[in-house]
Amino acid sequence: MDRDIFDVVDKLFRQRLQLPELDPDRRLVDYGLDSVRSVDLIVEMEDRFDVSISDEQAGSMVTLRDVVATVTAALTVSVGQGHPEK
Amino acid sequence: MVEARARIRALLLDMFGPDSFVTELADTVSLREGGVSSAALVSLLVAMEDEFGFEWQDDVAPEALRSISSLAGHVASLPA
Amino acid sequence: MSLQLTVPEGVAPGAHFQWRPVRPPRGRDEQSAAGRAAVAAALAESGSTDLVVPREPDGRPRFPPGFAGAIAHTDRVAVAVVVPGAEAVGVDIEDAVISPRVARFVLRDRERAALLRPAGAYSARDLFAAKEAAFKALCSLGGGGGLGGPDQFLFWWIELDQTDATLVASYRGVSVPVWVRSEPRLSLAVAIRR
Repeated sequence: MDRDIFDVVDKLFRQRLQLPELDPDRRLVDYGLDSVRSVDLIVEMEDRFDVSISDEQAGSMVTLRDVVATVTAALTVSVGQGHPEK
Repeated sequence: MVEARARIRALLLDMFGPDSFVTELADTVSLREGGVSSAALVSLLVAMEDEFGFEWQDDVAPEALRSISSLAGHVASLPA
Repeated sequence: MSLQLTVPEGVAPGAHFQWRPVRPPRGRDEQSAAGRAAVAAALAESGSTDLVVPREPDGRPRFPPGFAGAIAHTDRVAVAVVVPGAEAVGVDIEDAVISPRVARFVLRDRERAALLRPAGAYSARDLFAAKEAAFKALCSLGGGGGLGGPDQFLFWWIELDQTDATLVASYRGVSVPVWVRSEPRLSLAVAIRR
């Protein structure tokens, strides 16, 4: 798990959920993350990391660790594609 | 009327930026359908009070708020 | 991440919510596309076979008969709500900063005194969203409600009252309860008339 990405994602989620600490392996729904907060966080991560997260990917992210893995994978793909639009 | 339309358009450009959809927004097109949200519409109405020195009355006809042209028409109808 | 909405028990039984992020560059086309995708998903989840919502000449969405619904978006996210069997539904999401001046414009003295924090439970953005959601619901009543469409009245003419824990919006004697969800960066309001 990429530590830098983890730190950014962890901080972002703690801020939005207004919690001092998050267990990376606990289900995010247990922390009160529902669709209102999810969709806003997805857009925020897309902006921060300049990646695209599909609805399927969003639906499969159950824990913070899943979120970090998805963002990491999306970053790898976008670097591999060389960001032709940039 | 022409001047009022230009001043209202300038207020919208201030709100949305010089490169926004406002540059393409025709005077007679519905602001709502043209992409002006309710929050932005109210901000525009408040800015118009300062720009033109009047206060909107609660019983204003909804059609007066429809477009840049109708807003300018309302300004022109105000007592001098 | 959860795509389910946490709604308090009893507030919106039978309501189907769907959210979609607006894709970059987040212009009007992308906002509309996100709205359409959210609507199609909400209608499908509700059991409708018709997943397309054309627009009325005045811009209102026309939902399939029996599937009352509403759409709202900011430039970042879109939401659709469908409530099978409801008479009218309205929804709004607001992420705009509502200045005190704008709040005075859209809220009556009585509403500000009773409903705004700290005396009340709501922010100006919550109440703005509540009026807009109620406006969409009341407009969709059309001829049946006798209030007319969005060209016939203005959303800030709607009055808000708190009855027990419920926010109720009304205009000319026609009322609709409104549920508000307040987040740090956005307010969601849903009005459902059954």
